[in-house]
Amino acid sequence: MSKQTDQGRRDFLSRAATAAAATTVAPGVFLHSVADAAPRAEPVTSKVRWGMLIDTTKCADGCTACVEACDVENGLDLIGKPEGASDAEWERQRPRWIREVKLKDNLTDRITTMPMLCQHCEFPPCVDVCPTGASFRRADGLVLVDRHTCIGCRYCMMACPYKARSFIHENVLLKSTAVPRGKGCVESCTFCVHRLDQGETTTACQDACSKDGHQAIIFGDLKDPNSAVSQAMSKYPTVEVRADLKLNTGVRYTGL
Amino acid sequence: MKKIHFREWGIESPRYWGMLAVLAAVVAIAGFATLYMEHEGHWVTGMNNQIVWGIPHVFAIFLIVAASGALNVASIGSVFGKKVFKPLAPLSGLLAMTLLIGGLLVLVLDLGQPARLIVAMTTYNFKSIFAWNIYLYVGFLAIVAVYLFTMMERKAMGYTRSVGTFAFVWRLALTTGTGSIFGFLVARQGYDAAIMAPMFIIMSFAYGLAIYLLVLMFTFKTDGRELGDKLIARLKNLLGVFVAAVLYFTVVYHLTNLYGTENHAYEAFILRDGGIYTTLFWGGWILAGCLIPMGIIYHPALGKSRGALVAACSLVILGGFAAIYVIVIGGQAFPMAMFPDKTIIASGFYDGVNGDPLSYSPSLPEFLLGIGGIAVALLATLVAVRVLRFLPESLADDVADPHAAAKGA
Amino acid sequence: MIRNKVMRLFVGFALGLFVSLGVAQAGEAIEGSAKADKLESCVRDTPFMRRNHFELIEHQRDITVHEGIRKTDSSIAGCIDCHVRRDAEGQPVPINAPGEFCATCHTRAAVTLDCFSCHATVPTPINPAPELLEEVKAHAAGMDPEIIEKAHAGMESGSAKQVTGN
Ligand code: HEC
Ligand code: HEC
Ligand code: HEC
Repeated sequence: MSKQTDQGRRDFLSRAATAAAATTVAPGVFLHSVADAAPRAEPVTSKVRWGMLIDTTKCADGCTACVEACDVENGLDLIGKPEGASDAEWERQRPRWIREVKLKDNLTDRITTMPMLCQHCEFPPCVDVCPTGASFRRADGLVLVDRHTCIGCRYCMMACPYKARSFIHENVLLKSTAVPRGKGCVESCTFCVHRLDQGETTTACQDACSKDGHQAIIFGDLKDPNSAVSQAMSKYPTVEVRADLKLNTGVRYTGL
Repeated sequence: MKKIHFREWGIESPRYWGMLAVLAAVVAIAGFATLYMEHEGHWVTGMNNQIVWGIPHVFAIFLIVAASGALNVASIGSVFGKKVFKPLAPLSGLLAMTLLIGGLLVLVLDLGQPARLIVAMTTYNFKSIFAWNIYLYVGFLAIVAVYLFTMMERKAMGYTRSVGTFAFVWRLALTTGTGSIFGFLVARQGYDAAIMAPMFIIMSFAYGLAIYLLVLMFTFKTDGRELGDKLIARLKNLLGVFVAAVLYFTVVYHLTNLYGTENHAYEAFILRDGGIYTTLFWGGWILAGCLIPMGIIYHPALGKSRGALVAACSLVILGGFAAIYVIVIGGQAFPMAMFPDKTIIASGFYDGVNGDPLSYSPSLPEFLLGIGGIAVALLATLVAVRVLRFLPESLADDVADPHAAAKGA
Repeated sequence: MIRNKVMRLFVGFALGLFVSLGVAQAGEAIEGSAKADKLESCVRDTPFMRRNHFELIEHQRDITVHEGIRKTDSSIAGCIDCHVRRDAEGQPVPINAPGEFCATCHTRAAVTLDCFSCHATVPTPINPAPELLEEVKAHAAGMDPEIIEKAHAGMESGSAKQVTGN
């Protein structure tokens, strides 16, 4: 029994272990495009900007693979409905990092389905308004919340034009090591930062979408002209949601 | 001119302690409600990921706005040199402080992490208007405290005018800051308006004065002190002007919004289709908060009745709550226009499907927290007037304003 | 399968509270069952750790969250992984349960930590297995707030009372 557990734990830690080995092989060498996992040793820099391209024409109506994958990856489904909460109210209060929306064009009636998530703006309104600086933009373009300094004022949620953020309304009993969370802080999509910092280059939503054969989500480094996401963006016309606000979002859409 | 003497509020002890006990009980109930919310998390409130600021913010913002307005009476006295207002100044400064404390308390206790207040006090993001507000609020308390000291301490009286001027400028900055909390939210139709800050200032004048008048009349009447009709008439007319100004700014705000096509949907929501928000706008903000009080104030007969004035002040306050509710909650309930020219027909996260407003049903504990803030403000006020000399012995017209009294006679 | 097992242990642990068997349900931690017990020294020398461990993790916290540095020996996940003890069944005993590593000194020093209102107190797999999630959800749906509170109280280091989540 205890042997099995040890093995299980090794499984849990295997990622970190291989990674550590990989870095010892080439100490000091750091390439952002390396595919083999290695925990980051150097601070992130602005040489990389993580971004995402969502092809709405490939996004299937009724498919929620990305949403479910995000929930599992980030432990969002470990949060239970508190006893006594009504279902309807709970749905409004539970956190969501990515969601499906379905749009109808007012003129042409054309239907579009697409996922909405934190757009990882270059000029994020949430960061501007945060009184303590807990909302911040990491050098590599991720817009994150430092939940050690978040006081739970929710001004960022007021400021976000995409309604991308959630507040944790309840005590969190089941916790995961990779994605900690607790009552009273605001959070939102991190582009699976715990993966990226281990040297991985995909997000859970992207993996799920590919696995289902849609390939609607391409994720990668916007500053690397050879990355899949840059290549795709140079080929198709892309739009920002609420481009009028000039936030230079890291998430772009085609076919919208 | 007679010398004005100040004296502690002297109502009989049983009555005084009874009042304190009632207020303390309200504070205690609010305290339990807050502990409950803190302990369970915000799921026990009606707030959710769409309506992120709820009833506590309505109360907090109302109290903070009213606090800066309550200082006006003192400012008119010392900054603009109106002698009649000078004896009114200490109570004005006191209310400014207690109302602000009540409001801040509600704001802080609604935080997701109130225990991290120390973080808020030590780590700043200077781009955030919220962070600036923390300075503005704390600074306001300090300056008004000094201001009060200069009024009440003979040796410091020479400074009253300069400190008062500083306090006046500061209070304008404070209300501008509070209004800008909304003005900076470019993403939301209802808030993105430059007029927000001046509108908050004028609202603060009205709400602060209404509260001031109620407290003044209450403390004087219960203590058998005289309050001259001339003085009351002056304050009443001032209130009338402020309320009219609120009405004016409200009209301008909505007219400018109607001028820009992009705001038509929001205007239609608030003015016509918004259900509770429309009701509160017309019935609360406009009718109860502006039109009826103005009717009372300028009515030849009613305008002279103290009872009617109490009603007018109360209505201004109720209308004020309605106005802040419409601004804070209505502004969030109206779905953000994320996709112009498109209608959201389905969403996994309440994006205002088919333009439907987002729902919010406040729960009891939230209300209790807000009411607790008011109770704290009143409690602090009643304690202060009892132990310190805030209230003039008499404000009979021949004492307060012998000039006017003589002229009138 | 093995991963499921770990998850089951973890879930079982949390839900053990739900069936009101209390923290002790995980079993008495066995003396010497932590990885650290088989090692000579901590990530720094012991006197340094005693005095400065919080500065170490707090520094790590800031550089991990803001700079993404994960190659480190001083992550909070690492402390837990190495210091957590196990019971006779091999289940990890929460690091902040009474008498466990992060609790003993803190109780004595009357230090309260809020870390474990968010951070897992036992090593958990990165992705819980989907089958188990159903189980979790089924239980979590009926989770009484009082039980949750008790769980937190039990997991909070030391006896000093504190409202969870602060
Ligand atoms: C690789 C395993 C390992 C890791 C990771 C680790 N420790 Fe240790 N720690 C040890 C060992 C072994 C000792 C005992 C040293 C001794 O006996 O002198 C120890 C001792 C300590 C002590 C002193 C205990 C005492 O009784 O005096 C503290 C405090 C401590 N560790 C805290 C931490 C913290 C905090 C972290 C995370 C930053 C951490 N440790 C990570 C192995 C580890
Ligand atoms: C409100 C929830 C919350 C609380 C409370 C909290 N943390 Fe964290 N912590 C997080 C989140 C979220 C992360 C980011 C995890 C990531 O990106 O991998 C994190 C990351 C960390 C990290 C870097 C990741 C790692 O495993 O080392 C450290 C170190 C850390 N926290 C230490 C602490 C300490 C020490 C405390 C208590 C004083 C604490 N945290 C309290 C939420 C919290
Ligand atoms: C050798 C006893 C000892 C052990 C073991 C120990 N701590 Fe501590 N810890 C202390 C003491 C004593 C303090 C208070 C230090 C002070 O305030 O000067 C403290 C403070 C802290 C703080 C800062 C608390 C605050 O409010 O700032 C953190 C975080 C912390 N410990 C984390 C841990 C973690 C995580 C572990 C388990 C891996 C651990 N400690 C194990 C003795 C210990």
